[in-house]
Amino acid sequence: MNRRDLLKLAAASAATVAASRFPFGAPRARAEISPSEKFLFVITANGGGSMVDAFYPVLESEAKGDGKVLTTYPEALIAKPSGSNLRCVKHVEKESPFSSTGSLEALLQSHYADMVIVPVDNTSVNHVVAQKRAITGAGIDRGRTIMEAVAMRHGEKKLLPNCNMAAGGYIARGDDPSVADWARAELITSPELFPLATDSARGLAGVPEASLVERARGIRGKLESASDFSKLHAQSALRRRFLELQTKLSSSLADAKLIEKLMIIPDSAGGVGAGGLPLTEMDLASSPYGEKIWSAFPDVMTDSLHAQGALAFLLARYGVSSVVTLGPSAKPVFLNDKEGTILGTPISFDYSHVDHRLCQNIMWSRVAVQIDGLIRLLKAEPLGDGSMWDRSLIYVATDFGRGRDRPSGADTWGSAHDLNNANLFISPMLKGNRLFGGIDLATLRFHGFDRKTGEADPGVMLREGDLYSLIAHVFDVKFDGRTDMTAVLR
Amino acid sequence: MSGQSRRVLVLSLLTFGAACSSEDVRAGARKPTCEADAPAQRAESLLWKRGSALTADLATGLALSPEELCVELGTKSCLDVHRVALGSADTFNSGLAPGVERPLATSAIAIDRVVLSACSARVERDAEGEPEVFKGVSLSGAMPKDTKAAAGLAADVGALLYPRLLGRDAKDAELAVLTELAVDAQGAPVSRADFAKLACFTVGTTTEFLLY
Repeated sequence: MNRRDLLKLAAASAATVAASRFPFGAPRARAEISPSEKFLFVITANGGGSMVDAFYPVLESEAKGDGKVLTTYPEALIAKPSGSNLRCVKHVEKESPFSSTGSLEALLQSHYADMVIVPVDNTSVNHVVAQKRAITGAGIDRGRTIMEAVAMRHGEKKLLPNCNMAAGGYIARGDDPSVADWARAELITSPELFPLATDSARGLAGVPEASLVERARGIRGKLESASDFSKLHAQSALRRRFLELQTKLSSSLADAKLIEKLMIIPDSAGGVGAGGLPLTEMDLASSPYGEKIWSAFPDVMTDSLHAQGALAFLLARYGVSSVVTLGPSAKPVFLNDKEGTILGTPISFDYSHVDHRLCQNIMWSRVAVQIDGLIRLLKAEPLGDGSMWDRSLIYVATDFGRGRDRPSGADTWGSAHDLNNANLFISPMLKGNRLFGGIDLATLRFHGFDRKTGEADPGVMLREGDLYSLIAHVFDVKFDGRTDMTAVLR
Repeated sequence: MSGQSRRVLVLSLLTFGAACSSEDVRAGARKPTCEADAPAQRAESLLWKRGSALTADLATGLALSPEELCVELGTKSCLDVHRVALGSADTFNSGLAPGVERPLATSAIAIDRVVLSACSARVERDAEGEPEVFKGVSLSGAMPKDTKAAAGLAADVGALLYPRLLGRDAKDAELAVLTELAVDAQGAPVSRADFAKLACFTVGTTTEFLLY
């Protein structure tokens, strides 16, 4: 063996130690939050949410040229709350099997002071590719997703630093192999039942009592050691990973009593809330935050977006996660009620290929449900001298924009994917109530701004990496190539 | 620090001190002057037994149908609720295909729940009717207080479980470990039914069952 081999071996051993999240024993992750923490929520407008159909619509009369052939709106469909520099599209009344309970107007009215619109020219019209680029900044930070980056920066002591309830390319794993396992996304497909995945036994029918199961889990380790299998596969990284999960993290999750704290299901046995389950009969209970979360998200048992929003708040509130991703999947929500209500449109925002105006209106309203509910919960939760909202940022990620062309005067038409768009960020940590950049009223295409001064500049084109860099600035995530987006920060 | 990490670290420290060089080997020395032979980078030797494979092995081993294995809160199959954590794809909901590359933080707990529920279901059925797995073993009453009798019963249960779940006979050392499940943390005997459930759970969540 030569010196180079020795150095490689030493480096590998150091990396092995460093890569183990608990190299010298597992510190118990705190289940509370400190006033200095920040919280990132990524809400995914899956399928292509167009900003000119949401929070920067253009009046037909404002367009340069013939406004009837562009995605403009009549005055009756646009709202601009007093004090707001931004405007929004009102509810579009149209016969359709699809609907939503949200309101862009109500959202803007309540939160315009914290809303920021940042133009972007995306780099892919393929959904899955574009979705992944929306969260990786098109690879600007070694291929890390912004969620992994924030988790790596702030989540080491968290139990589940990076939780993801979204779909498609928004659940993609980043491409940087140096991201630790614990910072990778914990995928959650069933938010109302997810708390059960934090305890090995509670809630199961006919099983021994929890103390016996816990003891058995300890004895299992001895059984492992006694087997020839363990000796034969002592080098297996996969086996080591399983053992680490079984012996360390599982205990931490159970000890934190997340099965209670994160339980968003109403307890029908306890007489709390309608449409719940008899949790008390199963040795379970609703979250102590039950009443608060149901006031913001009353339909947790029937509407997945409500369930996601409720769980996202609790994951942040109990210090479980630094970043939570949520948003609609390609499937709308079928309420199976006698009216046959379908919330959302099929394939989410991409139903714009069939009926652009209706789809954008309904799906932005659906996203508004999550944004509004989440902000209300965060604002109501004290933290330090203010509230959790003071230290939160919501990034509404989307694949790309939609084509601005319209058959003359049409109310119903299909739109294509379009790279040019603008993204919505909401946070008291940003200079809110503003579009950074501008819009060309002849084409309805957005342009960027001087990143240092914040002044609109038609010659500037922002990319996914700039959106990534903006979030990175807020969360103190440093990397080579980060663009200076400090003009947007408050 | 894991045992593996400790071994590699010690090994690297030893090799640093050994003044080992490749010239010594090229000189044709019968015994290399390098004190340590560094472990070669080994490819992963095991695969994760994911969702449907785990389901199939558990169902076969415990003579249950997949639907009988585990239900969460009386509403949904655990295999659907924990689909992603169990390693399965989730094509139609989240668009995840194939399944996650590495186990999630909650994968171990999800597996615990499925196996514990399945084992408990099997024990309950065998206790109430014609036994299919726990044949020739009484599942009523408490485990014997006498340690030798308890060890005998543990061996009987182990002799039933190991072939069904791991495809082999248990070693004496493994049966001795199973005997520890006969009492609770205070040393009081557990019920025979609980012992059977816990033994099944413990064997069924070893890495030997979960990986291949």
